[in-house]
Amino acid sequence: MNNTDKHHYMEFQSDDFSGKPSLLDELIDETLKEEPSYSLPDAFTDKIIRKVDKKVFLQKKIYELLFYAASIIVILAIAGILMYFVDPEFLKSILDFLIVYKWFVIIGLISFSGIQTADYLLLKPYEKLIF
Amino acid sequence: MDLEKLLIKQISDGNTHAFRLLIKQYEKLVVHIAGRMIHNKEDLEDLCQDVFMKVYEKLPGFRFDSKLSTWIAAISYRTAINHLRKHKNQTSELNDSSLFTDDALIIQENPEDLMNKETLKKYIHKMIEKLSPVYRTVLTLYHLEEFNYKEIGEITGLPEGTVKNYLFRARKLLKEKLKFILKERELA
Repeated sequence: MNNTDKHHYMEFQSDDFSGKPSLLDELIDETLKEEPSYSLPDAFTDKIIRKVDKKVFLQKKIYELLFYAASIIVILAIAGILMYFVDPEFLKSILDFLIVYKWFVIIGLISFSGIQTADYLLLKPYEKLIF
Repeated sequence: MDLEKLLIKQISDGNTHAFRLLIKQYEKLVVHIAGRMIHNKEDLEDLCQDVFMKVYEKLPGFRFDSKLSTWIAAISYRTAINHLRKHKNQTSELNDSSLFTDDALIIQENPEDLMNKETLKKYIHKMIEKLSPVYRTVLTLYHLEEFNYKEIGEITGLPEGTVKNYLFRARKLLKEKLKFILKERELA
């Protein structure tokens, strides 16, 4: 060890009780404040956002499904209640009405299903974008 | 704080651009905490993704009892610790009582190079990697992220006194190891 090195070493070791941190302390501090070498890839944020979008989309679909299931249950329950409590003659008159105006009912149902299908088909390309 | 509240409200309302901002703001914090414990690059990225997904899910329930950064750091810490627990070969690293995970800290560097400041820094980094995960985290949170003792306690679930103790012990040991190396260099 030459004199300069020895002097350097002594400096690193010094603890003169002056309250000032030694060079070793300073070196440790400096190292601990350094940015670590590891980092995340540039596309990291995009990946997370894609995951979030997918999650939100799936949640929305689940809620929709639950809504439809609940609607069917409610319709069946209402029909059951009607059949149990309402006068059969009144129900027969409703049925007769539906038979008389069957084409209006059929066209109405087809139109409703058509709108739903068109809506689904038009939205489909955007769903692909989300995924 | 008001900006943070606005950001959180926007995210809770489903604004993904706001969430993108939050990720950009806190990704360094998350990767610094997780990276101190997970060394595999793929695992680290997966873990950071898990952290941000948890943040997204739990954010509507955030009540500002602490700073947002403290809350995100706590999620990162717990997720990383759980990851280590799942991987059996690393569970020994979770033993808080041991300061170093590897007692045989072998000096591989050429003793002649050890007077160089940069080499010493590299060596300190290596020593930090050999500390147990809790010590590594406490050192990172205090020195790199500049959290105070109370906040570090909130993040790690350790009492404030223990945090101070861990910091003191970790620094002391790093210093002793360095002194030892430098002394060996003198004798070489």
